[in-house]
Amino acid sequence: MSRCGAVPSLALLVALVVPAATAAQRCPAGTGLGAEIVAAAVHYGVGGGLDGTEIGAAVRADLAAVAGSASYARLNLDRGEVDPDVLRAEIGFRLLDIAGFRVCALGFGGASLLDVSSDDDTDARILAGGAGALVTRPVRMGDGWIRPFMTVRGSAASSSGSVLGLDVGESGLSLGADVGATLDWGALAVSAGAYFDGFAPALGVTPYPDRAIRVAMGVRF
Amino acid sequence: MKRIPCLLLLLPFASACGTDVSGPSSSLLSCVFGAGTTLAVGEVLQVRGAGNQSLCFTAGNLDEEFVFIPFYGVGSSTDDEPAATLSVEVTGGGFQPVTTADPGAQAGAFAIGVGATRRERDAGFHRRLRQREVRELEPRIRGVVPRDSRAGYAPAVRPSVSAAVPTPGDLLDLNVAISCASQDVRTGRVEYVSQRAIVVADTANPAGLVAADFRHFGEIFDTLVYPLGTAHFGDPTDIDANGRAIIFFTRAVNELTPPESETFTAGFFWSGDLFPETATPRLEACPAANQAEMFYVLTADPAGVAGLEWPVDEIRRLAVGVIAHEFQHLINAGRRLYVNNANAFERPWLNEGLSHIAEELMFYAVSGLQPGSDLTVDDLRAAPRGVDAFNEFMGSNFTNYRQYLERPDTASLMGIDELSTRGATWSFLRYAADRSGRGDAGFFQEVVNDAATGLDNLDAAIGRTGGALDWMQDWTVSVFADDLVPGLDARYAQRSWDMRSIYEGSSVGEYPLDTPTLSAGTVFSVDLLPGGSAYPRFGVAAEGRAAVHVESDGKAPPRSLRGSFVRIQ
Repeated sequence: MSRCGAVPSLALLVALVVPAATAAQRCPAGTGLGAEIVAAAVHYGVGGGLDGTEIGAAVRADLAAVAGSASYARLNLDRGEVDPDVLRAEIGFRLLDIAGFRVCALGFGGASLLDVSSDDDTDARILAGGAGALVTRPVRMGDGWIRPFMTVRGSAASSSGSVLGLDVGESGLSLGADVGATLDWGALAVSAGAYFDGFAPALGVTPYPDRAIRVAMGVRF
Repeated sequence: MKRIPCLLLLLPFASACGTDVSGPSSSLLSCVFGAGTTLAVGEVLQVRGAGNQSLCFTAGNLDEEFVFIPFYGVGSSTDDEPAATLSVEVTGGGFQPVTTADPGAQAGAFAIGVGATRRERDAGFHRRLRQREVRELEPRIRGVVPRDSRAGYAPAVRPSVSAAVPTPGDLLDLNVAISCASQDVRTGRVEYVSQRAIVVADTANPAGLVAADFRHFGEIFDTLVYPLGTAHFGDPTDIDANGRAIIFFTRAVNELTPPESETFTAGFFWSGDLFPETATPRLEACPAANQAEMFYVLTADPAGVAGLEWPVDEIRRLAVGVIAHEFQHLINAGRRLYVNNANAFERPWLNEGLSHIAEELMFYAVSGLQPGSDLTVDDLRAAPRGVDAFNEFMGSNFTNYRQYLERPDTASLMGIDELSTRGATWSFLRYAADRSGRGDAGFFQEVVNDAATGLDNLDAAIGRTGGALDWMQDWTVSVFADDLVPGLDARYAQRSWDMRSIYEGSSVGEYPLDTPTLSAGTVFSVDLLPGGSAYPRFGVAAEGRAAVHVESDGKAPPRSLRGSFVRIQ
């Protein structure tokens, strides 16, 4: 059996079995509030390859044609002296519905905070933000909805602060994409998606990893 | 997480593109995640310009130490004025104090250079001489050499001084004025005529050297200097059709050094002597010069009548090296004018470096030791004539090289002709010949017999445009690391000399290279001449990390600033 086989199986299992989600469903869907926990496996190109996991929480608000979310996550990386705190925020605007597809505009931003407690000379942050478009096509599935989505986006990032007492000040651009699906099932929701970005390794651990699989479970009020 | 890439195969429509990083590339942030640069002991990381403005090093489970060697890799545009320097600022963090110090060996048994003479040579006169050649003589080179005149000995230029081979006792009028117009004629008496030399003594010389001395100089010219010179640099020309070089021992050389001087001029060669009395299609005339293959050598002056006091024994030890040195100049200039079709003389720094190679070749011939054998002070002592030959022929090279090592930033292996320049250029030429794999004769013949000059000439000899600067950068690594750091690649080796052993075993007592240490938060600043370098060291604690950041005048450094990081422990 190839090593590739297990991952899509797991993703499919998560997507199909867990009942509902609001997390990665970033196109406005009705009105309400939500909260969720998020877990992800991430990979950065930093230093020839850096893997890790991410655990966090998010809150979300849907208001007619606008949806917004804010999240906090803690990265646990397999190497190094710091596990960055990552803050992200996103806002989506519903642009149009056509032939069953919904198109939204996205704006997003985030920050990775690196504070090495044992090293007074290292305190850096990487800020990133950008805009993109999301396409989803909600499909009725029993009592719930499944909403597959795909986004494309452009991002910019810059680092600041110091490492070992030396100022860092890098900046860079990335084109990224996501693909995944959200299941809404009553008040419960679950989503899973794969996320791709391409910031240069010199930018370090940005809020948007080179590759990530992110799973979220939440409730909607 | 290692399975994430597999999703890329399953989701081909989802992609991410590369980024355009503005500003200097840096791996500083990688450093926080244990992903800094790691080097094995002896491994070298070479970088250029702004692309590697900041570098982070992560250490393994032992303390590590590094040397960072910035090298300003451009050719000097001037031979007679100090070239513009490049400001380099090095900062960093995470350093720990270096623990390796250059071992301060006990002072050894012999004093470098003292065996030949107690004084240092004066590069100033030679610098002015070469400048004069460029200013006065190069404009007189005006055409290509007729092809049938290029091979072998020189074209038929009407000899004026010594159309026939003189015999001992003959008197020659020789102009020592170093000019195509003015005259300062001295009368020389032919003291000895060998197969390849005419040894002449100024009739106004102070008493000192005797007939046996002149015979000795003539014989050693025939048996050592001439064969070595021709084998390694090429045949001399013979514009005076006497088949010999005139070696003129004259107080005119002594008079170049005032009695109170701490340095001295040992001899000289003047390219004007190779120009014709009347113009040819190739060369304009230099009527006041001697129209002969000749050079001028210091004479004994025990009482200091003509300048400094020069005991006879000191001149006996000194003169052969001087003759070998000047003979290279004679071959070089003659072949450029009459054989190699060059329109310019060799750049002074390279020309002098080659002449110091000629002195080194004498050392090998006399001592019986061989280039490429990483000679230590013990090797010198073990060879019957090792130490004597070293002091006679290598003293000035090591004295000059010491001057370079003491200030490698303000000295250079290129550019203005200083003693430190000579030391560095000699060392580089020795390094390059050894590295070339073509042997001394193969390499130096190529350098001497090319119409190009300076760096272009060295590029041609090395076989690649830019090759000379690349090799110079590697040489800067060898200056520090050879015979000190284990595990070095062969291209960083100085294969002929264990420099550390020689200096530590001599009266110098230690290897004189200046190697300051970097400390966190402190800017190490240096102004590098073209061809200049510096050797700051830093340590990284076990399991720790350190970062080095390089700027030039507060900005990203140009690509001409090259750097070599060497892990030394």
